[in-house]
Amino acid sequence: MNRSHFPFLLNTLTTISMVFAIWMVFLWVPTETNQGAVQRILYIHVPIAWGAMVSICIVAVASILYLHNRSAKWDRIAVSSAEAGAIFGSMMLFSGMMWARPVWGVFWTGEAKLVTTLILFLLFVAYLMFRNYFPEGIQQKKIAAVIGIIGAIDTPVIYFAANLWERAHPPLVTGPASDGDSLLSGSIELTLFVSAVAFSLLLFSLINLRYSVHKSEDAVNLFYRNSSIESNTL
Amino acid sequence: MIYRYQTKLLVSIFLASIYFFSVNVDPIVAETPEKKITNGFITNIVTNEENTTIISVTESDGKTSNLKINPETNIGIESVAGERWVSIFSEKPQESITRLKDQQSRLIVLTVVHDGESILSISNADKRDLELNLQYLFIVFMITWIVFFAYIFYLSRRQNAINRDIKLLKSQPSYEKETK
Repeated sequence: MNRSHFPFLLNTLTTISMVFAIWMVFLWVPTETNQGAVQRILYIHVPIAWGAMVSICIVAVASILYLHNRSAKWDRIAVSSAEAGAIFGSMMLFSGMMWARPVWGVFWTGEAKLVTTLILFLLFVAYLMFRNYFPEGIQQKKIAAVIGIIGAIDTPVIYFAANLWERAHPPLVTGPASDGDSLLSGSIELTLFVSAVAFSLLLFSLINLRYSVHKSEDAVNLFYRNSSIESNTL
Repeated sequence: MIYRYQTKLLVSIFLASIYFFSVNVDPIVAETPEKKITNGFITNIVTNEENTTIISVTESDGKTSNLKINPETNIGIESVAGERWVSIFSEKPQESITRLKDQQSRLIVLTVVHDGESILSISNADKRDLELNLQYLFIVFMITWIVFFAYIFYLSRRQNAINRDIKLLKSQPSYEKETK
């Protein structure tokens, strides 16, 4: 496969899977009997939360690789992933609050799952703020990488929070870490899986798009920097 | 340039597909042939010689269904004090029957999900207006997609601007020398 075709293939795959997921969410999966239509928020809230946690893991892995070999490529991947993660994080909080209001009666409770999720979002914001306001250079990239690595520690805490400190947020009902068999019915689980795949592809598309913008900007900045050095030395 | 056309093409495919699906697919219903929903009150509870409990549920039109309670039947009912009691029949069969008899004596309307013969779940009819919750669903999907499209739009614009810069720089003779 030609490398230049990769973004187009990824975007096309994302679009198709997203359309299919939306079709399943609104027209295929039956309405849940206890919560009614509002339960369909599950199919956007859980995949977005998954995307946010995958983002911080990508930030951490890319940061470790950057600290290891100082390649600008890993730094760009970390920044791109953090930006996409901030979008996913904010949408995760928003969709969760909108679901909590009709089901729990409140937008927010101070329980562990919700607070650790808010911390994850704030970590993304802190990472991006640091990147924007700290003077550019190797030092900036190194400190940002450390923030990214520390941020990833929050992920397992979020994942297991509802099981460890059970309150209003339901514990894990599907996936390898849930207790025993999945508690979701077949059609709900399948729709959730397709939606998770679609949002994962969307996350990778956004990271890829942001990465290509970042790479082009770096090339232009390098040119201007070299030009100014040359003109100063003349 | 290519990115701009790709984005337009993909957005068009996305919107066209949603329109296509929305006009070509039958609306869904919560009920399926394997999962029927009956709303009514209990008129009789009997346990036969085979130790099977059968309850009679009478709907508002007078139609009565005799349905069997399985060991796996989920029960979620409210007591007279408004406390919700949730259990699986096999876990507390005697208490389940007592509580169902309480519902029968108080003529409480129950929602029974069944396959025509056996009961999958039995619970108090939901008093909330579920349709009202549609606004939350609408807000979540609308805001989420607005945010994602706005971010993609912002990145595409940024990419186009940088591509214009690169094009301009490439036309300068010093560019090749600098980038080598």
